[in-house]
Amino acid sequence: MRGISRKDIDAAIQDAKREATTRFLSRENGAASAYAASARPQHNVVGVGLGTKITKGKPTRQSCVRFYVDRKLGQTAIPREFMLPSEVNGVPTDVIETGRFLALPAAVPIQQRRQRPASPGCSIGFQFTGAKAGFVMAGTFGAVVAAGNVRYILSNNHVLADENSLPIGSPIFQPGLLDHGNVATDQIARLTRFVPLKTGGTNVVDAAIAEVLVAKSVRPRVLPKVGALKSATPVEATEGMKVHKTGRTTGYTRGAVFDVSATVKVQYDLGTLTFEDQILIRGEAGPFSGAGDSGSLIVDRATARATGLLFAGSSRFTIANHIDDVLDDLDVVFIV
Amino acid sequence: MTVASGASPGFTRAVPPGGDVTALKKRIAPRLLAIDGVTGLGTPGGVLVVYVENDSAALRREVDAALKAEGVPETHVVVTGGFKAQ
Repeated sequence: MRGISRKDIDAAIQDAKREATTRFLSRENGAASAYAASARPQHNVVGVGLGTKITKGKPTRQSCVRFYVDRKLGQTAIPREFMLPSEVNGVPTDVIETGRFLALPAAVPIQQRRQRPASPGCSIGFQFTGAKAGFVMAGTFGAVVAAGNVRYILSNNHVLADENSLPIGSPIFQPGLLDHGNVATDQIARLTRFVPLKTGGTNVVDAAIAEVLVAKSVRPRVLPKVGALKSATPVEATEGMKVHKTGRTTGYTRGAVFDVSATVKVQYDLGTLTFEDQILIRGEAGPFSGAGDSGSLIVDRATARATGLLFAGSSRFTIANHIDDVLDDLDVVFIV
Repeated sequence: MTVASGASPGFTRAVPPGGDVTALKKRIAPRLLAIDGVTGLGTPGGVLVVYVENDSAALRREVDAALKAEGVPETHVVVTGGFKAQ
């Protein structure tokens, strides 16, 4: 059966729809509770449309005005004065339960939005300069750390220092410019220190810190589900440890530690770098991480203590530095 | 050489009892990591594991030859895909 298009609807039915809309579709919001439903048309009708009338679950050949309602109630439950009419201007009506329509959530996940205070797990990054000017990037804000009274954002060298190439003091933005961070208004920190990545020999960490410009613009609690660290003291990763993280790209994911002393080759813009004594993690339901998750803090689910700093991965595994190596090399401690 | 890419590969010890698997890994790492397609080495479960980007007969032969040259009779391989900074 060929369905009707807007062009097929004759003027009389269009008029009936306008009439029904005026009389029954209200801007009032009657939803007071998830456990209550209103039979009043001004509360229950959430839309008016046109279509073929459906009788006993089957479409008929008859055009009708459709009332879309939050809840379709039994006739005996509806006071007579609240009953919807069986016809409008001589055009039959139909009642279809759709539930209440809600605006769909913004397409931008929380971890990619601007946040003040900003929490670990959200998007951060630097501005490319030189030959790469014009490109944009984003990584993940790992944790709030401190040395003395100064607070820093902890992440990777390649997220805050562009693989050794940015000068100390370079601005760090939240969100990262890939996530529409604004260079004029979204600077949150300045690059303070990074552990240089070595193209010859082996690396142990990919880590950097950036001093927070305004202390209140960050908070240590990781974005939803990971939450607050129970202790500023890390826990050593062990094989089989159940871990989780929140990152800029894949959000909240769970996984398990597969290896605690892997030596791996990792592709960077600088070239292929070798890292020793790394943690390998496998996701529980698909990949544990993706591009843009670098810098995420890996947290032990059993103790709610940090165990790793995510910096690389493949389609099957994620790689993290042991977090105590990171804290030692940067001479900082967690703020919890 | 045993290849595993899915769940736990069911490791068996690939070094003699009393052997130091960490020292073995350190010793053979330069030779193994020089092979194109080898992404790393690990010791999950106390067993030497070679991580590779993809499983192929040519790569297996190359890894086996390198292990033999280092005096390692057998090890396990886990397919990881290629690692990139994320």
